Amino acid sequence: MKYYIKKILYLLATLIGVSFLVYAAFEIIPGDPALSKLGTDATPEALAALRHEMGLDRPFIVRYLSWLVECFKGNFGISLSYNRPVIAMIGDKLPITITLTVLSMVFTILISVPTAVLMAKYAKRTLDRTFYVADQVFMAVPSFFLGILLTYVFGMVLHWFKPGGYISYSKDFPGFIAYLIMPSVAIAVPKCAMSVKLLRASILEEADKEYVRTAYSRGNSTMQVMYRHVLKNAMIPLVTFWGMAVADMIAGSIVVEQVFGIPGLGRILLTSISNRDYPVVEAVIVLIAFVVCVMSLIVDILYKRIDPRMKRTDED
Amino acid sequence: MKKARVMFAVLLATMTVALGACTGDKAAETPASHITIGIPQDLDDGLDPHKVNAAGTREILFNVYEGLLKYNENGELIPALAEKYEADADGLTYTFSLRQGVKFHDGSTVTADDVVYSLNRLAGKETGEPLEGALANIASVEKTDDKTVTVKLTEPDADFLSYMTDAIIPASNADPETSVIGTGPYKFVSHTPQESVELESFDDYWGEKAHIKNITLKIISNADSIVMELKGGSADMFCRITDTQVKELEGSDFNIEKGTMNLVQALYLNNKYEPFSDPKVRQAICYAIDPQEIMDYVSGGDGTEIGSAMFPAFGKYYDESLNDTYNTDIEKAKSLLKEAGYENGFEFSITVPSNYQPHVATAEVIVEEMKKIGVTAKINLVEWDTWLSETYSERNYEATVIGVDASPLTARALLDRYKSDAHNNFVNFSSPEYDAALTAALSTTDDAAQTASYKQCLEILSKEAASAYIQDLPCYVAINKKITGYKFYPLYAQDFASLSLVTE
Repeated sequence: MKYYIKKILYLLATLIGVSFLVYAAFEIIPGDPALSKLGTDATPEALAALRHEMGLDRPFIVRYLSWLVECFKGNFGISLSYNRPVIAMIGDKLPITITLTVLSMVFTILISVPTAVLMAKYAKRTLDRTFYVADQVFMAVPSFFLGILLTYVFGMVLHWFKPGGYISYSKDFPGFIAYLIMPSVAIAVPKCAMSVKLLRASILEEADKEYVRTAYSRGNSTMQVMYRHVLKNAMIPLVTFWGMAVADMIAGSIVVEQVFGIPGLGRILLTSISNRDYPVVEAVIVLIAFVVCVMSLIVDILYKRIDPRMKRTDED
Repeated sequence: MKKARVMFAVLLATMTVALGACTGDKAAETPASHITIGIPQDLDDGLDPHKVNAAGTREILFNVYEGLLKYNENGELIPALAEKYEADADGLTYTFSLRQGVKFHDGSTVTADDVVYSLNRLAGKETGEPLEGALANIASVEKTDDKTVTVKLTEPDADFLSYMTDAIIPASNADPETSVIGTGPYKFVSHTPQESVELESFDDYWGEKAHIKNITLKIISNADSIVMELKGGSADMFCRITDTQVKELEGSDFNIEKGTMNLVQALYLNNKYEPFSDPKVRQAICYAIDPQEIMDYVSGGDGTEIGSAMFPAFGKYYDESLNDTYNTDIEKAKSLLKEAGYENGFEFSITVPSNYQPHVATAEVIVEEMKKIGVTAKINLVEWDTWLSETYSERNYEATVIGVDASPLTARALLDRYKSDAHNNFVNFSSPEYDAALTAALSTTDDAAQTASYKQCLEILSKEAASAYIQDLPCYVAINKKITGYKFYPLYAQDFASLSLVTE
């Protein structure tokens, strides 16, 4: 129990630190949300009035603290450029990014586990070696570049999908999912390559252990040993990786969303930064930081579930 | 196992049927009357026509809202909700006769009360804060009878009528920000922030009705994906694409319409920055810059040379002879620099907003041209918001390349900013002679005298080399070959009602 309280306090401290950094960044970089909204025709009077309305005429620290207090009350403020509650704005776009992340994760797991098992089974043979080289290549390709390649090959040449033809989830859900497949693949491939590498090594390590020999001696087939015993233990290091991969995918989807023209969290973040709409930027960044922290917390907990040895070392 | 296979077959069958049904539905709607137009940014500054600032929003709302008058594609004011108007000789009283039977998008009829309400709202009669600064000049708005509205001004204003293009909205609409009710050829259907805006043609429009039933405005915020989306079929049209994108679209299903941006593009010089405070240095820069070379490099020779702060669409005020004030002359430039005491040259930086490719390319040519007169220029790329606050608002820069537009479409909008004490005089130009000429232009209602004064202003800007004027940039619109009827306006307006589909 004490352990969880400690973890939650860490989480809060991280979030407050992140939010302060974002606030401070907006204070340092040039640009003014009021000017951004009024443009070149702004009269000094109109500008002053809008700055007052936006609360920008108060000192930095006062603005930050009052924002923080409001956040604890669950009020994340109003978007400066849209005049809409930040929560509503993010709420509209979150399902898009979440779907993208879930799909990417599903692809990562579905592809990496069978591939790694196959490679481990044929370890050091031609199949394994070929896959190994391919794996290295995929690991090195950044998602956004892969996105551009996929768009070109499957969109422009083969016409399997309409580049930029994003369909809103509220209009046509199957169409929405269909459009997200390519971006998810682009996000999943590098993670997949990494998972394969980790899992293959882990399986080979486990396969040498004594309990495996015992299992064989009891007359089990290779596949039975693999799925019932080896894989279960070999997955442990992967859980950590996947946990962090989820957090990474949310952040990584920001770039990939741009490539595929998906109006998710990434677009909201980028346009809000260029409009100096800092309440929205704050909320998006804090949300991403929150996901990262929570994922690492979940990984810790899962770890203890899977591997009983962890229990004792951590609670002391 | 068998069971699973059957299940799968059933699932597959259902999906095929469902998908088939989907496409079937779409075919049943007349697909010919829907087009998708890509726009670079969201309508994020609200939809209240009296409060909108962003040019990108205004040019779209042009289809939704109308004023008593509106602009045609030649930049002339034509009657809209007012059938005709009369101005008294003293220039203080305007009488508008309203067109009868005009409907708002909600089905109600436009009344004299709605007109009075809208004008009072713009002039800030109730709040004390005018939503349109120039209309603070309105002394009173009165409904003479059901068909007539009289506007009285405090002092004569030659530009007054151009503000009568501001939207008339129903007095009953409590929240113009969210419920969009105008009288234009298109009505507003919905807005999904950061995704799209839906418009539908208005069946009860008083004038010539729109040809295309539904228009989706799709936000394509990533400039790199514009060509891909056009070629891939996700958008049928995109306004203001770059020269490079034009080349990438060659041989595709798109026609490129060529117009002008209606901007005064210049190397704007901060007249308070030493050495630009010396007119001789500014003149030397003008002699060193070759607009033709820039136009060739930036847009394959398209573009129109300008010699002062006025673009050609203004016909009446545009003076072509000013293009020759500084014909490229390196020797002359060098001797001017010598006179000013800079025979060994100097260094300065050109601040350019990185999101405007033509301005960045222009700056690149200027850097080379400056080398010829021994001046070292370097480019400082900044993000738009930084430019807006540091360069434009705080005037903390040495030189910058940008295009200045006229909003509203009046000479005043372009020339006011060079008045010594103007709040938007970002070049810090200061000339008593200019201030006098501008005041003369603004205080007369005689058209000929006003034109003469404005021309004098332009001449002073050219002679004094307030900045190095370059060109009015070309404007390219990519438009699918199935669509026809695109019209360029000399102001921020995209006239969707003039578009129609090519019948095969």
